[in-house]
Amino acid sequence: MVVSPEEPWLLPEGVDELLPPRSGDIERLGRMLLDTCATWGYELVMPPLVEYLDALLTGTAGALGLQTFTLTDQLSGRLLGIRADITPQAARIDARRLRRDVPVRLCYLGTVLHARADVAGESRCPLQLGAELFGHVGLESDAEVLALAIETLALAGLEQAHISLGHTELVRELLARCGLSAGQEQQLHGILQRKAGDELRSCLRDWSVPGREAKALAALMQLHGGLGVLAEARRHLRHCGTEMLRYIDDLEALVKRMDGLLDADRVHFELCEMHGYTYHNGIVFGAYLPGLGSAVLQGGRYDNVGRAFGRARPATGFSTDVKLLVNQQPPGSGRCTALLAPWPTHDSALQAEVTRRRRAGETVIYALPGQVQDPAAQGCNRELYRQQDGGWQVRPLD
Amino acid sequence: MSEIEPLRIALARGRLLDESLALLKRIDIYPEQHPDEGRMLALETNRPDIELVVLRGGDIPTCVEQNGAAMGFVGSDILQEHRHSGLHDPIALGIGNCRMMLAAPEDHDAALASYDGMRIATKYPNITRDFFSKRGEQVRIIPLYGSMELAPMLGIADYIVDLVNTGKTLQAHGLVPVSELMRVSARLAVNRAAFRLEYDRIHPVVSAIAQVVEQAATV
Repeated sequence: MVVSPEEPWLLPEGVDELLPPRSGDIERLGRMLLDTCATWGYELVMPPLVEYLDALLTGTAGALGLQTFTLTDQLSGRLLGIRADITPQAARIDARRLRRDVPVRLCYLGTVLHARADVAGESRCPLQLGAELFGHVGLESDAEVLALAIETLALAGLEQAHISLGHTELVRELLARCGLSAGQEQQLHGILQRKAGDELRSCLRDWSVPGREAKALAALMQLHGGLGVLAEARRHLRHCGTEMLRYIDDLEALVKRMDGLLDADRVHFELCEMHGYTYHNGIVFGAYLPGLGSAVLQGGRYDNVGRAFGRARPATGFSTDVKLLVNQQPPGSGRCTALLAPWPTHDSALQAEVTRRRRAGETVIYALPGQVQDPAAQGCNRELYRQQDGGWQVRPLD
Repeated sequence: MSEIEPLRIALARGRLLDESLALLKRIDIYPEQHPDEGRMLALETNRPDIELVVLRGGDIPTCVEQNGAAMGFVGSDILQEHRHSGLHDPIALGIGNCRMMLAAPEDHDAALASYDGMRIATKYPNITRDFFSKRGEQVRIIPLYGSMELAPMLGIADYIVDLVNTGKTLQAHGLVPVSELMRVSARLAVNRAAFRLEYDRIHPVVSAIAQVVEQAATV
């Protein structure tokens, strides 16, 4: 899109700004979600908007290369990147800055920038909220992060979300046994992501992949659906070693551990989940809402991302876009709730009354001298007026 | 109880439409009215839970990606040009089969070793660029949306890349096929989110389609 110089106030494609009342809704929800993370022990971090590109794309975050805007630092001459995801920054902070030996729980809220929208027409500047748990291997941390993700959705009023669960190591383990070249594996990633069964069969045949692995891989691609799919998976993968079966056990144990939080009608298993395959290495999950063509929240295990920063640590977490969460709700009602007060010319009693009310959380707006009187346009539905005894009282505005 | 939205299947208008409708008929899904009769682009079917929408083929990946329709029947040429964009496309439907070819005027230099610097007219710039990149050749792509066959005659391109069915259109314009870029057939595309959310509704349809396609292939 070419913007004519006469319309310089138009924003670039996919770049949006938040206006009232939505902006208020988003700020309130973001604050509430961060407060909730805090009650779970997740400490707030505020990583910078820009970093050296090398640091932003270190390790498995290299997958973000095409998504990251770059610019040249006038001071150092080095390339800077505008973050496309805060997760790698949190991993860097855990590995290089905090360097604690105990489990570290971090949360964040900030704008990220995508060079290209994932889906045409989507925002390129999501307001990313996330929580990451570093330093623990095991289902307990997977369960905690998933539970916090589900709580996040509930607080956003999205209890109807469906949760899709997968395990990236099922595919990885099988591919490792197929004896493929890096290029062939790369080609299979795309085919598995698309679930193109015919292309998978033809590639495996052309590359002479051993029968057992080929059969298991073709079966894995078809293993999706409700809880029953786990039993089916055990049947198909029983000859593929105990590791594969352990991944299935892990998924089942996780669901059991989530008792009461996951509704069986709204849980889906995707045993050939390829989303974030290059980044994740364990249990992964996504939340989906009726009518929306992509996930509203995604997360999972990504152990050892910190290795690139000199400290390999197990890690799991999730992130979402607060703007997307709020957009699923109707705009907040009752916006017109402010109180209009006259300008307090030498009136300390009025000033004290206004201060008292503001400190109690009420919105009070002074009518500025000479302004056009349209209280509703300023969000006021009541006004403060002086009673005959000199005291201040509230009355509704028409 | 609120009424459940019908599951929408997007079909491409044009030569693929009749074959798509015939395939759906075999799994007992058919429109109450043929799209040509009422010029309707959204069609109710014999099943109240399924609706058909008829779109330009090139719009189907976007429509399915944005979940305007949960599924679509679309050419593999269009999917690949669209770079598959995070869709599932689990089944080759065995319909709409043709080839994407590089074609040249009959009097072209058949002994030419490299296409470097040549102008190629196409409505598939991504596929064309990928094809020549893999050969290590840099070509100039002239994007056109139709009447590709005229481009060499008009002097705006040296070659064209287009779909070829019988080859008669090429012949009529004094062109000959030079090499094949890909074999094309229609595929079933499914939105990733819908596949997970509406699994109980989508999976039976996908399985039924897979079954009739397999039967047709073994006949």
